[in-house]
Amino acid sequence: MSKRSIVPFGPQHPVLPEPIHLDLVLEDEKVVEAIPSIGFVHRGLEKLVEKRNFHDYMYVIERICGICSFMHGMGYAEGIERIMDVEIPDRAKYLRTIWCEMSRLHSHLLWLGLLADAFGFESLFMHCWRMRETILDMFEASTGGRVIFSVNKIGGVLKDMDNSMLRTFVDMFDKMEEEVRQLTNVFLKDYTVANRLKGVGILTKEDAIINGAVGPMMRAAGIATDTRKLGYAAYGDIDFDIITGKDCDSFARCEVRINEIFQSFNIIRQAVAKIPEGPIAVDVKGNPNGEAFVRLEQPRGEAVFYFRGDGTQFLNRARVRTPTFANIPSLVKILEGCDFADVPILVLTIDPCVSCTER
Amino acid sequence: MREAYKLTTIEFADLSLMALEMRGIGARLSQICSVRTKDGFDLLYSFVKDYDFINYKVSIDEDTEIESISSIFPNAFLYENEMSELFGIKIKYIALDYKNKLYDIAVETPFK
Amino acid sequence: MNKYGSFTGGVLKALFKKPATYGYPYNKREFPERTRGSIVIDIDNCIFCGLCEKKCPSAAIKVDRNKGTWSIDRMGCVQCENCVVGCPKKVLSSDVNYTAPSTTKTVDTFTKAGAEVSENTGAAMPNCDLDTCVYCGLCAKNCPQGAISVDRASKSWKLDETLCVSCGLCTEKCPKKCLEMGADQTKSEVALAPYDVDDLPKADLSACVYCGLCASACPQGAIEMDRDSKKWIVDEEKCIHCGICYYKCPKKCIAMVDAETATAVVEEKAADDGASLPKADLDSCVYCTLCAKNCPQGALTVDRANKVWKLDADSCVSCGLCVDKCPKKCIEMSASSAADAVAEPEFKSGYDVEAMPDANLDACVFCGICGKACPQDAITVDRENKTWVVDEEKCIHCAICAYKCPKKCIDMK
Repeated sequence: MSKRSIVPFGPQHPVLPEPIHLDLVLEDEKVVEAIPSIGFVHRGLEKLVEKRNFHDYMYVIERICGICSFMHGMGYAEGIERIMDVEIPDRAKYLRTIWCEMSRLHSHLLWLGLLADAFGFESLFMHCWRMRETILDMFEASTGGRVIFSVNKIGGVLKDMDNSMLRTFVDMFDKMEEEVRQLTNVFLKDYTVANRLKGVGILTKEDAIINGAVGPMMRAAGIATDTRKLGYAAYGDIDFDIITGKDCDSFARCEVRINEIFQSFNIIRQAVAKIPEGPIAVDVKGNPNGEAFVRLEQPRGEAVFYFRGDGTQFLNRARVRTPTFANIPSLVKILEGCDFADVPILVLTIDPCVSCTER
Repeated sequence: MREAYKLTTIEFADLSLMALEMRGIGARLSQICSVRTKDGFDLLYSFVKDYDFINYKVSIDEDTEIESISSIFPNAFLYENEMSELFGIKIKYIALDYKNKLYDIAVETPFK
Repeated sequence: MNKYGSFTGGVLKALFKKPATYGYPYNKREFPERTRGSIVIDIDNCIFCGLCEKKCPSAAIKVDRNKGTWSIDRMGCVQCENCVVGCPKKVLSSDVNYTAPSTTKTVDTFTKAGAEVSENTGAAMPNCDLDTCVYCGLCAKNCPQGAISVDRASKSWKLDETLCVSCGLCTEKCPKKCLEMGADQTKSEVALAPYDVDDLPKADLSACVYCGLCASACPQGAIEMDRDSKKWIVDEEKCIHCGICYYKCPKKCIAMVDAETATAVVEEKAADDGASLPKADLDSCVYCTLCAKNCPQGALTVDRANKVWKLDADSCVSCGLCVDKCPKKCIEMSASSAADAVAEPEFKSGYDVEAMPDANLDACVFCGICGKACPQDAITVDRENKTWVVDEEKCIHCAICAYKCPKKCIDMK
C-alpha cells in the first residue's frame, strides 16, 4: 500500500468564492476519501423566523443567498400563499417566471466564468462575467436591486414591468443570445476545456439517486427530472423540454448548464409573449395557520421549502433545503478516486453555493 | 398550479422499515427536517420518486433516541447531523457523526 | 471538433470594441430610476410613529419622538425598502444614489424643523365612544407608542396625548368600531356600555340551534359548545365580555346578563322535530352555491352542473344563515319536514337562469362595483377606455351585479 496523507482543502482557496473545507485523504496523488466540513458562515436565518413578523421575514429569507435570492423569496411567498390559500394574479405569476429565468441566466453565466477561471482560462472568465453584467443591469432597471431584488411579497409582486420594458429586454436577450452562443462554443469545442473536463468526476445514474443529487448534477447523469415541470408560477403554460446529458462527467454537467442558458432565453420569450394584463398583487389578511411544502427548481437544482405557522404573526418553523446541501454527498462521491489536481474543478462542477448551504 | 403531495404519519420505530421501502422503490431522499413542538419534535422525511413527493412525519418526545437511516441513504448523514446539532435530537449510528461540530458556531447549541 | 482557434474570433472582435468597464471615479454611472440606493425622508411630514423602526430587518432606523429626530445607520441599511412600503404617511422613499464609501460608520439624523411634538395641537386623535366600548384592550396592545391605557376593572380608557402620533392604527384594530379619529380631545366621562362590562353571555338554550358560530367567533376561546350532547358553556375566567358572540348569534339567543344569573344551567333542549328547515325556490335559484359555502354545518349540497339543491336535514341546525346569504333571496325557512326539503331539480326556462347582465352604458359611470361584486369575476370594467364586458362563459346569472349597481344601469336580459 502506498503512503497515505491528509491534505486540508479550503476554507480559503483560489477557486472558492465561499468557505468550505474538505479533508482529503490521499494515496500518492489519488484521493481515496473526502470529508466535508461546513459551518463557517452559518447565520441562523431559519431560526430568525420566530422573531420576525411573517411579512417582514421575506427580506430575511431573500438574503440566504445572493444568486438565487429571488427564488428563495418566491419559495417563501408560495409557501405562505399555499398555507393561507391565496391565489395570486396571473400577471404576478408570469413576472415571477421571468425573474426566475433571468436569475438562472445570470447564475449559469457566473458559473461558466468561475469554471473557466478554475482551469486557468482567464479571458473566457472575463467574457462570461461581462455578459452577466448586462443581466444585472436589467435586474436593476426592473427591480431596483442588482443582487437582492426585494420584489416578492406574499400575495404577488411589488413592482410591475410594463410592456415597453419587457420588449426592450427581449431585444437585448436576442442580441445577447448570439454572443453567448459564440462564447459557449469555446466551452463545447475547445480542446483545452475538453481535456480538463471529459471523463472527470463521473457520477452514475445509480449513485446520483442514492446520494440524492439534484438539478444539473442529476440531469447530466441522464435522469430527466426538472421541478419546473410541476407547473408552479406560470411554468404550467410554458412549453420546454428537460435537458439531459449522457456522459455523467464534468463535461456533461457543463453542457447541460450551457443548454439551459438557451432554454431560459426561450422561456423568457414565451412568457413575454403570453403575459396577461391585470393586477400584480392581492391583499393578504390574517395570519398563516398550517403547514406546507413547496418545491422549486433553482439554478443549482431542486430546493425544498417547508413552513409551519400556528395562527400568530410569527411562524413556528421555516426550513429551506437548498440544492447545494443536497449535492454535497454527491461531491464526496465524485471526489473518491479522482486526481488531486482535479479537486478544484470537481468542487466547482456541483456549482457550490455555501451561504445557501449553511443559511 | 400547486403540487399535490402525500404526508403520512408513522411511528419512530418504523423509520428504518420506511427507509428500506423507499430505497426499494428507487426513490431519492430529498430532505429531512425537524420542527420543535410543545412536547418534543416532529421529524419530516421527504422522498422523491420521479415527480412524486412523498413525505413521512414522525412525532417524538425530547428523550427519544432514533436510529439513523444513513446506512440506507448515505446522504442522510448531513441532515441528521444538522438536526442533532441545532435541535438536540438524539440519533444513533450516524455513518459520519460530527458530534455537534457540523456548524462551527460560537453560540451554544442546541437552540431552544 | 474544432481543435484550435475557437476563441480567436471573439478575441479579435474584443480588440476593436469599447471597454465594458468605465472609468470610475471620473465617469459616474447613471442609475435607472428604480435603483434602491439610499433611503431619504420627507421629515416635515413625518409623524414619528416608529413603524419603520419596527419593520427594519437590520435595525438601522431609530426614531425619537420626543426630540423629533429620525436617524438611519447608512452602513447598516440593506436597502430592502420595507420601511418605504410600510410607511403610513409615505414620507420615505428611495434615492438612486448610493451611500458614499467611508472609513467610519455614518449615522444620518434628520430633525423636524420647529418640532414641538409634545404640544401636538390640532392633530386628529382617537376618541373612544365609551357607550359601546368593552374595554378589551386591543387598541392599547396595537398602539406603536403605548399611548393608550385601558383598565377593565375601573372601566377607564385613557389616551396620553403627548405620546399619540395620530397614526390611526387603534381605530383599525377596534373590534367594536367605537374609536374615531377626531380633533376633539376632551376626555369623555366614564359611561356605561349598554350592558355591564362584567356581564357574561348567556344563551337561551330553548332557541339555540348549536351552530357553533359563537364559539368560533370568540377571540378568547371561552365558549365551549357541543352539538351532540347539546352543551353550551362559557368559561368565566376566559371571557372578556366583549359581546362578539352576542353580535354573531344568528338566532339572537345570546344575551349579556349579570354574572350571577349567568351561571348557565344547561337546559335540555326540546327535541327539534318540527324545527324549521330552509327550502329553496328552484324557479329563481341560480345555483350560485353561496348558501352551501356559508352553511356552518355543511348541510347543503349545490351542484351547478346538474341543477341540484339538496339539504341534509339531519345536519341542518336551522340557523338561517343560508337565507341571509342568498343573493336571489330564494331560500325560506319553512316548518316542512325533511323529505320536502330535498327539492327536485325542476326547472323553468326564461329570464332567471339564463339572463345575462347588460349595462346601459349611457348611464354607467364605470365605477367597477359590479366587477368586484361578481362571485365569478365575469365582469371586466375599464374606466379609462370606458368598456364594460361580461364573460358569458363565466357568468352564472346570479344578478348580484344588478343589485349592486349604484346607478341601477344593469338589467338582466
